[in-house]
Amino acid sequence: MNLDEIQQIFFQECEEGLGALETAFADLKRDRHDDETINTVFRSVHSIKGGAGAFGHERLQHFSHHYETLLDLIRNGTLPLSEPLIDLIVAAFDTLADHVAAARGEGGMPADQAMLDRLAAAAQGEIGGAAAAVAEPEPVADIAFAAPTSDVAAAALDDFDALFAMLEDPAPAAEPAGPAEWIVSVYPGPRAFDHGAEPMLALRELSRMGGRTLAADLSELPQLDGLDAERAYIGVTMALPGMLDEDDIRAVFDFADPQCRLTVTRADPAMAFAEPEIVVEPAIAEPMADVIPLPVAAPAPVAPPVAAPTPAPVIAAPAPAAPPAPAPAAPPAPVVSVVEAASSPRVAAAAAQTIRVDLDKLDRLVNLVGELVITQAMLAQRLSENEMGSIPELSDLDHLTRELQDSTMAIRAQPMKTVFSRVPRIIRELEVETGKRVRLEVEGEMTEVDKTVVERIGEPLTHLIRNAVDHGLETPADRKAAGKDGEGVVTLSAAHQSGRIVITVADDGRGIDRARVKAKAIERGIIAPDAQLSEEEIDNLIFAPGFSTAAVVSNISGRGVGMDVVRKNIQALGGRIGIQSELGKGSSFSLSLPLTLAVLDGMIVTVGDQTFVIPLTHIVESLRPGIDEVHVVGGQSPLLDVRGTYVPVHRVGEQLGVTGAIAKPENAVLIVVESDQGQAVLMVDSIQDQRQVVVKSLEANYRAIHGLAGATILGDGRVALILDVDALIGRWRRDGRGPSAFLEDMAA
Amino acid sequence: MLPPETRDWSLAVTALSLAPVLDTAAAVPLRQALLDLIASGDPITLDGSQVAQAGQACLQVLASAQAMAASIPTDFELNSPSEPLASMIALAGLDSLVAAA
Repeated sequence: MNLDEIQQIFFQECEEGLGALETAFADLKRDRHDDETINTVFRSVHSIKGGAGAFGHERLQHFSHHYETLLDLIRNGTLPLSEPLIDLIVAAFDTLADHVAAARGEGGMPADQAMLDRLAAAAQGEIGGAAAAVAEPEPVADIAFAAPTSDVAAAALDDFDALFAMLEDPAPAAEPAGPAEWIVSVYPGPRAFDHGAEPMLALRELSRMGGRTLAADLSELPQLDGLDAERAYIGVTMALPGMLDEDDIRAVFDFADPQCRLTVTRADPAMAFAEPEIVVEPAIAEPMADVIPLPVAAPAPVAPPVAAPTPAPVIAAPAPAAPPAPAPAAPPAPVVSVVEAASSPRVAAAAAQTIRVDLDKLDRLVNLVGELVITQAMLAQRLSENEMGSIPELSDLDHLTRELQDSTMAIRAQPMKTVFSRVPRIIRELEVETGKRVRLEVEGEMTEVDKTVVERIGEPLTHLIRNAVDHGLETPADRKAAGKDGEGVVTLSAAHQSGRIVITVADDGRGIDRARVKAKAIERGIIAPDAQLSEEEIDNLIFAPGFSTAAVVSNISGRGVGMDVVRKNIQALGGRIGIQSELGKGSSFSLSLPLTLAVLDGMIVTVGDQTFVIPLTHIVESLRPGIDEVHVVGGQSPLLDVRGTYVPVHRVGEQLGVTGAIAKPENAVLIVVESDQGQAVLMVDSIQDQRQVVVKSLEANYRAIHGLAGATILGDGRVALILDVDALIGRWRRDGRGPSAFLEDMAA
Repeated sequence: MLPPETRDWSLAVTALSLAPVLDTAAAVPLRQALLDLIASGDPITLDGSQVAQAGQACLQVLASAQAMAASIPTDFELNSPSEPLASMIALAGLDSLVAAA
């Protein structure tokens, strides 16, 4: 694993940390927090700071350090958690997220000075203006008293280094107030310099935490002529303030070379502040055989091993009659953990629960499983042709293949939380931009869906949220005038329904004014002035290209390019979007998406000499019509009477230019489908089967074709095209023509 | 990369001005330059005043060179370390590098 990969892990952990912060802030804002909530916030910021230091992102580290300082004051009770303070730490979080993005190269460096000033002022108790100070004299007095010392303690851990360095006489530091110092031994792995990694950065971070170097272990350093300049040989032992958390010290090495050996032990209190002399051993000592493979060759010939009160499995380097070292006093005897992970059971347990896998490897696995499914189908067909289709082994194989496929897809599944966690910030920004007050309610954020869906749902979801706040919700004054609470509610939810995930963005705003929408559509030439549209069709007009009802185009939404792009994006994911709206009460946009894009349940149909797959999610019913159920009006497409509603019948064969298809509806099979444009009927020759098919991307293997969602390979080895029902119906509806030219369009 | 070494023959002392960037990439040429200096048999004097960045790879090369010089024996001095170099030397616990100066 190279440094870039390790840094990517850091950025992933940043994302997780930022997500955890959003969750914590939601609790803070709803007054559902406890001590652990602020601890969570502190830890997340702290670990971002640690990683930032390790990778040299100094601005990020600088900002998170000051952010952390304020959080520490809140955590230890110095600063009471007030509403203005919550607002400040939430606002600071946004700057932190910008810093993380900048460190990833995804944005410019944020201007953070104003926020740093606010954080510093808040750390001094200056929050919420003078009024708060006057209103609550007691806490202010506490803050005023506490701030200077805590400021030194928390805000300037760096200064510990200088403080310790200045203490010529260690006695004052040896006040028996705190726990014994930490003795930290670091042996970077031999390949620690690979890919430009620099072990000194971790030491510098320890130094910033108040660490001071006690000794270097040069026992493995060869003579210059035998030295590999690109291999790490030196171990360093440092002392760190005992008040630090062991996990915080270890966190500095989260991203170190995997072969880096780290030992963290408490110093013997009796010796805690007995400053050992810094010893550099220029002589090349032989590694001690009995501690191999651990390179602690510093023989510690004089000083007794530092007692390690922690139960960590340690082997104290013995003090044998080792080769006499020139040192008058040894460095604190290196204490070596045999298996580093074992000394930290919590870390070991966590490591056992999750594993990070390169996405390419996973995709390869998914692809292979897809091939297996296809091969299994081929095998089944071949056996069936030889009258062996009912052998139990085949059904076992089918079962196992399906399970394997489900398990593989489950690996790719991610909770919607990763997307939802970005929404609170969007809402905060919108509140500022629009002057509206918004409360976000989130449900079902742990609902899992395929990673591709998670990655690609962000943009359309963002637009829907913006739309809900900008267009949906009224201003506080308007809301009060309408008898509503001044604070609008945007609800974001995710749930599994019938093998799909349904994501809903709802608001309790003004709802869609259909008369206005229709008038605007006529004005824009989207519909004819005399068009008769159902409520659903009017609602769907907002997805028409170029439609916008905003009187003033804002930079939030209202350019009229968003909603049609939203629908296209959702359709590209194999999803559909539905609207429910009630004037004066609010609107709800529901996105129905497949759980995975790799397989779909489809109906295999025959049209002429071709086989097509119709995604099952679109199918309402299929039937063989009686002669009196199909009506032809004025030479147009026939209409099917579906329980009193006339639904247009599309002859798939004719419309896609397939030869030999059945022409008369009464001889064919009619499949009633639900599309974005409402119901329609697809006329096919016959139904072959209904099964799960592995989707092969046309885009990746050939090129994108409008109207086709992909292709699959059938059991007999033939390729069947998967129909994109929404795109086909939409196109046919708009064209309103005998679409024999449709295939030409598709090919064009 | 290392700047060309400067030799002050009038003092019969070999002086090597250390490059501003002593990162891992600089360790290989630094090692070779120091081996050459040691092979010359002259006392070794290094000028660290221009160093703006120093990593562990170069520091251990310097420490190893110092040890090798001591074993010959020949003098080894690291003079005028810049603040960044001095702080990294202290951090790595290699104070003897400058203490010998």
